[in-house]
Amino acid sequence: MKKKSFLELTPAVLFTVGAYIFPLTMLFVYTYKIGGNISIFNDLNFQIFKFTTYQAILSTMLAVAMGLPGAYLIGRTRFKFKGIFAALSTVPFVMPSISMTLGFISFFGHNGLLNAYFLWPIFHVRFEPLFTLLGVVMGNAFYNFPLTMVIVGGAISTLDPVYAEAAKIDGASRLKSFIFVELPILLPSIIASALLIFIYCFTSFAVMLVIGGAQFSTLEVQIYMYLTTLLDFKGAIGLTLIQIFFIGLIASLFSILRRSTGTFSQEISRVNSKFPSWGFFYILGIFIFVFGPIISQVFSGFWNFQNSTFTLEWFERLFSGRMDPYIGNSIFLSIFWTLVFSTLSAVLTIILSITAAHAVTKIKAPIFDALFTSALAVSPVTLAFGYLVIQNYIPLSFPLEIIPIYTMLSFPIGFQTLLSGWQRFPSEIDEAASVDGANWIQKTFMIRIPILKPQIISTFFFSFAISMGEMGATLVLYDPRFPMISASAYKLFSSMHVPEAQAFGALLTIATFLIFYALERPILTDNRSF
Amino acid sequence: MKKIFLLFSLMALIITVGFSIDTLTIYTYSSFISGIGNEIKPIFEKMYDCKINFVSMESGNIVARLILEKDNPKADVVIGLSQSQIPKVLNQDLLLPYKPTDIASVVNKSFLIDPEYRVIPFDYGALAIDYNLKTVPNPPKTFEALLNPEYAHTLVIEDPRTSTTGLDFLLWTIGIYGNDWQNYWKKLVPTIKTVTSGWDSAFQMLESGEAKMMVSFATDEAYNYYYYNGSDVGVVIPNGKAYVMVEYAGIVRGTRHLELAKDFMNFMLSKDFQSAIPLNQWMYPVTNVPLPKVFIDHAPSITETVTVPLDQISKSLSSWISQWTEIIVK
Repeated sequence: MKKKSFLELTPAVLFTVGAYIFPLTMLFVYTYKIGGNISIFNDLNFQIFKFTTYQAILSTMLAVAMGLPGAYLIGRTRFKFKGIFAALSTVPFVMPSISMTLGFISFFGHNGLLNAYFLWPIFHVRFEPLFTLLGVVMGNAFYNFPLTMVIVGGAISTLDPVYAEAAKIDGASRLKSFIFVELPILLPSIIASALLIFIYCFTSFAVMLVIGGAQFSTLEVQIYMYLTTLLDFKGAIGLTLIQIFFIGLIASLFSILRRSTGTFSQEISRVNSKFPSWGFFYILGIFIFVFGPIISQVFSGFWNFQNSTFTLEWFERLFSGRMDPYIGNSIFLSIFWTLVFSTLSAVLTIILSITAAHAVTKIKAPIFDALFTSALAVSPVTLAFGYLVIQNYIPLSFPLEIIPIYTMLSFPIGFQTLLSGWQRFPSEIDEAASVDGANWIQKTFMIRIPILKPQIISTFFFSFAISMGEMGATLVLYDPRFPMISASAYKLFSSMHVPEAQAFGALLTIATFLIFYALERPILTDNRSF
Repeated sequence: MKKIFLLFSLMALIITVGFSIDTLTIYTYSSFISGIGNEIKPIFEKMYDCKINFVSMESGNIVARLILEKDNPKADVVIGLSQSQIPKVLNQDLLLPYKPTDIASVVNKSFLIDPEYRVIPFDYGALAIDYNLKTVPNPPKTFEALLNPEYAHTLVIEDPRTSTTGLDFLLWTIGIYGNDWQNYWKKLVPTIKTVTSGWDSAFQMLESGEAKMMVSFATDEAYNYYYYNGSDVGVVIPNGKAYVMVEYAGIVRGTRHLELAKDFMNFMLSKDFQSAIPLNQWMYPVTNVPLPKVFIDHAPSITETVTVPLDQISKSLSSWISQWTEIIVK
């Protein structure tokens, strides 16, 4: 059994070493030839480290608090627009940071929708969170609360109702039974989501800069500076190592914690409670807070601000081919390649996550947990620079670099998601199948994949979304023969074709919404019974 | 599954098909390619019967990429190096010396900073403060005036750690205030609305009315007049002392197309190339070609300039940025 588990671990270990450890090591080795001073443990870096941690803790608390009610609504209750609600919440993941800036400014800004048309005319107050610590925390929560919603929501939907029923029989109220009986059972998944959110907030780059401004600096900004402005690669690698170590530490702590809380294998059954009255307020709040900026971003793709009229002009221009010189290739190709690369890396992520997570549930070695999760601590730009060094020795092309990078960025999430899936996996079914003479392939395709379908689907769309929205590494390695949507939108913005870029952003948002709406449906409507 | 295989083989095909004709690979930033690059590419390709392959990257990444590819360079020519990047480029010995035939046509000799001619200037511009004409009736005329409480929380600047515009603005204040620049910045903090990571987000904030002023370029007003026949943005150069940003190009050491690269360096100082600069780059040409009318009418003429000596930049840049960070970062 053990031997087989190690075999299952091989793809993920090989991939992690090849696509993440190797490029970083090469970058590290290479920088010794260049020379230069190195200063990592200075007061400034310490100050930034402190602030990075501080804002990450605040942001995580807000994101988890925002996500939990949503998780309950999605996992437990039945309501009409559940699919739409769930799909919309994943949109922030793919919004290019620059169109998010515009979304936030046009919604929360001084002259934004919220202030100019609502708060100021009615209450004569303005709410201007942009460029404050509150804005930073809000922005991180905006991006990350869906993680709690989806991870914990998935756990709630598969929670055995027996616990709640037992509590009810013993006379507990619904709230009491939720807090004292079900919440402790859900704790591992809540901690899992909080951990991921903390890591994302800790390494937040675009969100921080866009909503808070660079005066709220994270270590990522310092790393970026070492790499590009000061060309102090040693400094960058040094800080990256500190970050990897720190994130790895958190990941292994978490892993130990999770083992001590135990795993819950149970049969999956379906509960649909009544939609609670607080749910309306919650959805209204989320609607304003999260969907406001998204909708105003989409809106601006169809709006002529000079004449205040609805227009399709920006879309026409975008697809007329006149924007192609700015992108460096055809706009249609950029959509095509984005779909290809995002799909390929999502599929790769799923394969690696299923095998690695299965092996780790069997082997119980926190070191692998830490290794797989620590990849979240590497900035995509640093990783891309590592690939540039490798190019000196091995001829690589854009697809061979960007697919591993995208996969590496989403693998930790896929791994965590599948890990919680395997922990709840009814192993007796697997064993029964073995007794009946099913081989590995039969078990995998007939039993394991169908049971893990919810986790596989959510891994697919998170991975897809991360690839579609990634900009840092994409811009470093950019090859106009393989244009990508995110980089193209960026190029339109920076060549002052803002309305066209907005239209492109709107298209991306709408497409994401539709794809995820379609993908979400099976999770939410599936009547899992076996 | 079959489709994925097909896709893979298609990709492999695209990757393996090389270029047969002589190709000059040029590293530059993306707006260069979409603007002036588009215009001059066919001219040069026809003149020398070759192909130009522009590779775009963020301007901050260009030098990093040259360093990382030093053992196996892929570029022949690099375009768009700024003054602050030059010391590193020369120290790392990334470029080959070459003196273009028309070098004497460069009007401002102070732009020729390398006696070995490894870096050649091809255009220049100046930083300025852009302000909203409606909401800022009295723009600040001096750096001191910027500290005035009436401008509190109005100015958007770019981060020198991530943006070359931000870095140039820091160097501008160092050029004006010398060793006392830290004091100036401490007093500037209340004026700053936010620090963006790049020029484009700051420009968005100005356009949308979120910010009243930003650090940008002297030709912005002319740009608006050219494209929109009017401008809601004015530009001012505080103290009348402009910080001039000169853009440089050079031949990459290890090029496999040395002769073609030399031809391109000569071409950059030609009339064809230099006349295409103003309306594409929104910068000023370095040779004596006539300026378009919109430049004469709506771009400030740059008379007095400030500079920071190269050796100082190479010695102190990283400590300046650290000090800046300590003043600005919360």
